[in-house]
Amino acid sequence: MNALADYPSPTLEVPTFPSAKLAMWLFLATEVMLFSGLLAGCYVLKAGATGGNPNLWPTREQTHIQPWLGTLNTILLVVSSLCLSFALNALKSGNIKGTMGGFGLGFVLGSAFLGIKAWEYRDKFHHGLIPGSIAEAINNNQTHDSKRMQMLSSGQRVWLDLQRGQLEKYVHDHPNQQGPDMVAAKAFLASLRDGKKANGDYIRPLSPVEAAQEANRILEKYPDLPVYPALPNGNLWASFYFTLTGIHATHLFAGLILIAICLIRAISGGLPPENLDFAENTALYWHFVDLVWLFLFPLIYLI
Amino acid sequence: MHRFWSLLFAAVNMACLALLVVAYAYPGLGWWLPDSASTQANEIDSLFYLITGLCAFFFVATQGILIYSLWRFPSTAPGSPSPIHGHPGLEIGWTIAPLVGLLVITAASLPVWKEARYQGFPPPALEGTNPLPPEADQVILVTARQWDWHLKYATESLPAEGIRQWASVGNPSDLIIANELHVWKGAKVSLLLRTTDVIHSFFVPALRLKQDTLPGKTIPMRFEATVSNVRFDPAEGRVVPNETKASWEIACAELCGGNHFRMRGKLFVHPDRKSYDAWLDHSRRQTRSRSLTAMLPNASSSNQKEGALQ
Amino acid sequence: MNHDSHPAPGNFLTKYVFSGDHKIIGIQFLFSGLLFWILGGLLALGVRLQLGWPNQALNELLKWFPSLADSIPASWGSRISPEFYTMLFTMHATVMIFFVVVPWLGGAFGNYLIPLMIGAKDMAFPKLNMLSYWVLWPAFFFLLASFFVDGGAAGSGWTAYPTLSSATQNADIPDPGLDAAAKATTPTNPPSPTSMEPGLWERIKNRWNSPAAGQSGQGQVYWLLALIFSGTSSMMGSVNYITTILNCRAPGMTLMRMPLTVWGMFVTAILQSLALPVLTVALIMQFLDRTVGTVFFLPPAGLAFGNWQTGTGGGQPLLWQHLFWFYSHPAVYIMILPAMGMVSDVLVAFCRKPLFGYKPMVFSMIGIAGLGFIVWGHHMFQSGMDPRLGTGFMAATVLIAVPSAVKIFNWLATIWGSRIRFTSASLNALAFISMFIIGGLSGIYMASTPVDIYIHDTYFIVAHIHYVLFLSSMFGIYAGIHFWFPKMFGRTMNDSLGKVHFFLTFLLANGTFFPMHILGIRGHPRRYYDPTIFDWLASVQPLNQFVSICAILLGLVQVIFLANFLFSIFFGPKSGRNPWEANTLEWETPSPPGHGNFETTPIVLHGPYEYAVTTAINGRFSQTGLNRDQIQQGNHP
Repeated sequence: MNALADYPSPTLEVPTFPSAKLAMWLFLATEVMLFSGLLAGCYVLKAGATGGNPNLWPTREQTHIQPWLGTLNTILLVVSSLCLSFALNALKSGNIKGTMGGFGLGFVLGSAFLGIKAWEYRDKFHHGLIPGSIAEAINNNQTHDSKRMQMLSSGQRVWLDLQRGQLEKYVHDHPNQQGPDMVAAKAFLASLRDGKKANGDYIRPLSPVEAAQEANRILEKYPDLPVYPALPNGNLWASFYFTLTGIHATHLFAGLILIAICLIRAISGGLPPENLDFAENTALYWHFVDLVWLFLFPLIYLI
Repeated sequence: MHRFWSLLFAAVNMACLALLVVAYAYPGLGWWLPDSASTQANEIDSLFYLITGLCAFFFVATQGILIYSLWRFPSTAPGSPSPIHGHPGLEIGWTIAPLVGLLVITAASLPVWKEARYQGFPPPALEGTNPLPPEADQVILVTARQWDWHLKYATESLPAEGIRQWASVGNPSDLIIANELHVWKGAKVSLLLRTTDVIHSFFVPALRLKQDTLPGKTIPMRFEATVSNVRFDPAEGRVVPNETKASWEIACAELCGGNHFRMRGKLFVHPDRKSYDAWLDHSRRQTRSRSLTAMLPNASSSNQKEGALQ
Repeated sequence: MNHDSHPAPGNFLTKYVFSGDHKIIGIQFLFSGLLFWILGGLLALGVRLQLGWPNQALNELLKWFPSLADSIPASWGSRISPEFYTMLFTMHATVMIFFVVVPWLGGAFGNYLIPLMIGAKDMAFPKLNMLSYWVLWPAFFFLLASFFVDGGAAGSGWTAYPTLSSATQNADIPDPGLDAAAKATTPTNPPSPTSMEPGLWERIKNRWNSPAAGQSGQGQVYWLLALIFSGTSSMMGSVNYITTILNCRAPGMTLMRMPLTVWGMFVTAILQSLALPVLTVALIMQFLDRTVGTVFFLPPAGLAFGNWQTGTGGGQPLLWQHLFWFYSHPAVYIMILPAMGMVSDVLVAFCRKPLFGYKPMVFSMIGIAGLGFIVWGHHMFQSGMDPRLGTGFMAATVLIAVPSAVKIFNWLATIWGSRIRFTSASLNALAFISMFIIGGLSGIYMASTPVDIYIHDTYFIVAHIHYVLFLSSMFGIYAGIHFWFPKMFGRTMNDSLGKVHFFLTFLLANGTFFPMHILGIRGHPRRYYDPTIFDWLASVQPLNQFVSICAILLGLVQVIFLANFLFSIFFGPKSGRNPWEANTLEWETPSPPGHGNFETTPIVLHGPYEYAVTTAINGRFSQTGLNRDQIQQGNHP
C-alpha cells in the first residue's frame, strides 16, 4: 500500500473546483429545493384556504406577530453574516484575533436570534396559538354553509377544552382579584360549562361557535385575559409559522455548531490559512441560512 | 445453446402476446374489457384499441429484432463484429418514428379527455358557486365514506343556483340510499362526488368512469349511459333485470383502509325516465316508512347495514 | 479531499464495519439490500396468498406451518385480516423501493463502481460515504420496529395518501358525546386546576396514541421516520457521487469517455439531490400533521370518521400527492437509469462490439431525467386535479417515452451484427431489454389521459410497475451482480446455476406479471383484499390463482440465486482481473481491488466501448490502451 504514495493523485490535473466547496454548493442546491418545496406548498395552501380573500387570514394583531422583533432578527442575521465574512478575510490575511472576533460575534448574534425566536414561540403558545387547537368557526358571513359550519365547530372541541382549562387555572391562581376583567372571565368560564347560576337557573353551555365569538369579544375588551382567540384559518397559519421558522431554526442551530467548531479551531490554531475549505463552507452555509430568512421574514412578518 | 435462448425469448414474448389475443378473442372468458355502457366508454375503448395497435406493432418489431439477433449473432457465428459506433440518420429516424406514434395518440386522446372532464372545472369547494354543468337531466350527490357510497337523488328539479344549497343541506323529499346508482338510458347525468373522511375513488367499470373523491372538495363528473340493464317492475315493487341480464358494479379504486374492497355498489340503468321515476317514487315512499321505524331505539344501525349489503 | 486523511484501515472494525472504503460500503449496501429483498419478497408472497385463495389462504398456510396458529390473532377468524393485508402490500412496496432497489442501484453499485470506473482511488468524501450507509440504520430500525407497534406497520399504501395516512383525532381529551359507547367506557375526569393545561409533550403523546384512520396509527409515524432517514442517506450519497464524478476522474477520463453506468449514476444523483428534498418536506409535513397537530393535509372543515372526528383543518390533501410524486416519479427513473447504464456495460462486454450511439444514449438519459421533473402529474389524472393540468402532464409524459424508445433502438442496434456470448450476466441484460420494451409500451396506456381514467389504480398499473421495477431493474441488478461479482469478491458465480436461475426467473416472472395486464384490462382494482365479492371479477379469479402460483414459485427460485451468490463468495472459482475481457477501468485492478484501487493511476485514452476495433485478442482494447491483464497474466493467475 505504501507504493500508492508514489503515484500522482487520481484527480484531474487541474480540478476545476475544490471538492469540498462543490459538495457544499450541491448541498445548498438540495436545500434550495427543500425550502422551495416548503414555500411553494405553503403558498398554494394559503391561496387555497383564503381564495384570495385577505379577511380569511389572521392579522398580525391576532397572531401577536411583532414586526420589530422580526426586523431585529433580520438585522442580527445580516450582521452575523458580515461578521463571518470579516472572519474569513481576517483568516486569509492571517489575522487570528480578527478571525476569532468575527466567528465569536457571529456566534453570539446567531444565538441571540435563536433566543428571540424562542421567546416568540413562548409568546405564541401563551396566546393559545398552537397548531390544531385554534378555533376557526365564527359566524362572520364568510362561512355560511351549514354543514361546513357544523364540521368546523365540532373540530373546535380541543380549543374549548384548552380554553376552559386556561380560565380555570387563571381564576384559581388569582383568588383575590375582583376587577371587571375577572368578572368577565368568570362569566365566560361559567358559560363554557353547563351548571347552575347562584339563583338556581340552569346555564346552557355555549355552542363552540358562540363560545368562539364570545372569546373574540372578550379579547377586544380585555386583551390581557388568558382567552384564546378564534381565527379563521388560524390552524393553517400556525402550521406555517412553526414549520417554516422551526425548520429554519434547525438549520440555524446546525450553523451555530459549525461556527462553534470554527471558533474552537481558530482558538486552538487548527485553522490554517492555506486550508480555508471548512471555514469557507461554514460561512457559505450561514449566508444561505441568512438568505432563507430574508425570504421568510416578509412572508411571516410583513404580509 | 444460443438457439435455445433465442427460442426462450421468442416463446415468452409470444406467450404474452397470445394471452392478450386469447383474452380478446374469447369474450366468454371474461378476461377482457367489461361491458361498455356509456358514450365515454365507447370512446375510451376506441382509444385503447388504437394504442394497443400501435404498441403491438412496436412490440413485434423490436422483440422480433431482438430474437432474430439472438438467433443470428452468437459468438460462435463466423466472422467478427464490425466496430460501428452509430449512425446519425438511424438515430433521427428512430427518434421521430415513436414521436409520431405518440403524437397520434395524444391528438386522439385530447378531445375525449376534454369531453370527459373539462366541464364544471375547476371543482368548487363547498362554498363554490355553481358546480352543476349545464344541460344535466339528473343530479346525484355521491358521498363516500368508510366504507360505502351514499347517493342522494334530487326528487324535485333543481335550479342551477340552488345546487350548492342542495348539496350541503338538501330537500326533505330527497332520496338517500346506499350503494345504488340509478339512471336512465340517455340521461345526461351529473354526479357530485365528495367524501367525509379519506380519499376514495368512484369507479364504474361499465361506464369507464373513475374519479377520486377529495376531502374538502366536491368534484363534478358527467356521463351518459347508452345501454339499459334493468327496468322497474311496479307489480313486484323492485327493479328487475332486462333481457341483457347485465349486472354492473361500482367499486372503490383508491385505497381507503382495510375494507377498501368492500365498497361495492350497483349501477342500474333504466330504459327510460318513466321507469326511473317509478323507481324513485317507490323507493322514496319505502324509505320514508323505513326511516319511521329507524326512529325506534337501536334500529338505525341495523337499517344502515341492510342498505349497505344490498 | 485528498487521501492523506483517508489512510489504509488498520483493524477489523475500521476495515469491514466502519470503513470509509467505497468498496466495503458498496458491499454493505449490497448485503443489507439482500436481507430486505428477502423480507420484501415474503411480504409480496403474503399478498399473493391472499389474492389467490382469498378465504382459504390462512388455513392452507396453517396446514403447512401449524406452529403459526399461536401467533394469529383470534379476531382474524380463519382469514388474513384486511388490515393486515393492507400492511402487507404497503410494506412490500416500501421495502422493495426504498430499501432494496434504491440502495442496491445507488448504494451498492453506485458506491462500488463509480470510483473504479472513473479511475479514482475512492469517493471524494469517504467519511460522508460511510455516514450515508450508517444513516440507513435508523431507517432500518424504524421500518422493522413498525411491525411491532400497536396496530402494526403502515397500511396506507406506499404512496401514503392523506387523509388516510395522516388523519388523527384532534383531541387531547376524549371526545364527549359523539359516540355513546365510547362515552360509556371513557371516564370523564372532573377538571382539577393543577392538570388543566397539558404540556406540549403530553399533547404530542396524546396525539401519537390517538385514533387514526384505519391502519395508519403509530406504524405510519415510524414509516415516515424510516423514509426521512433513508432519504437523508440517499441525499448524502448523491452529493458525494456528483462531486466524485466531477472532480475525481482519472486523467483523460472526460465526461464523454465515462461508461454509461457512471452516466446513469451521475444523472440519478442529480435527480435525487433535486427531487428528494421535496419528498423530505412532504414527509416532515405529514409527520407534523401526525404528531403535533399541524393541518397541512387536513381539509378546512376537518373529517368525520364514523364515531370520531378530526379537528379543524385548513390544508389540502392533494398537496401531498403533488409533493410526493414530484419525488416519486423521478424515483422511478432513479430506479431504472443506473440499471440502464449497467445493462449497457454488460451488454457491450458480451456483444464484443462498440455501443451503438453512445452520445444519443447519454443524451436520452439526460432527457429522461430532465423531463422526469415535469411529468409527476400523470399519477394524478383522477385525483381531482384540474383536468387542464392533466393535459399538460399528458403532453410531457408522451415526450418522455421518446428517449426511452431511443435507448431501446440503440441497444437493439448494438446487438445487431454482434457476437453474443451467452452467460448468466448477458442473458439477464438481454432480458432487461426485452422486458423494458413491454414495461415501456404498457406505460403509454397511462399517458393517454382518457384511457388512464379506466386503467388508473387497476392491476394494469401493478403490471406496468413490476415490468419496470422487477422485470427491468431487477434483471439489470441480476446482470450487474453476475457481471461484477468477480470484481467484488475475486471469484465468479456459477454460470450454470446462474442460467438455471435466469431461465426459471424469466419464465415465472412473466407468468406472474403478464396476466396482471389482463386483470387490469378487466378492471380489477389494485390493493383489493378480496376481489371475489365482485361479480364482474369472478371470471379473472383463475388468473389470480395462476399469478399466485407463479409468484410463489418465483420466490422459491430466488433461493437458487441466493445460494449461488453466497456459495460463490467462498467457493467460486478464482476469477483473475478481467474474466469477461471487458474494457472499462475497473477490470485493470486486482480482484478484489486493494485499498486505493489502482496500482498506477490510469491514463485514459479513449471511450469505454472500443471492442472489435483492433486486432487484439478477442477484440479487447482497454480504456487505457493497454491490455494489461495479458501483460500481467503471469502474476495473477
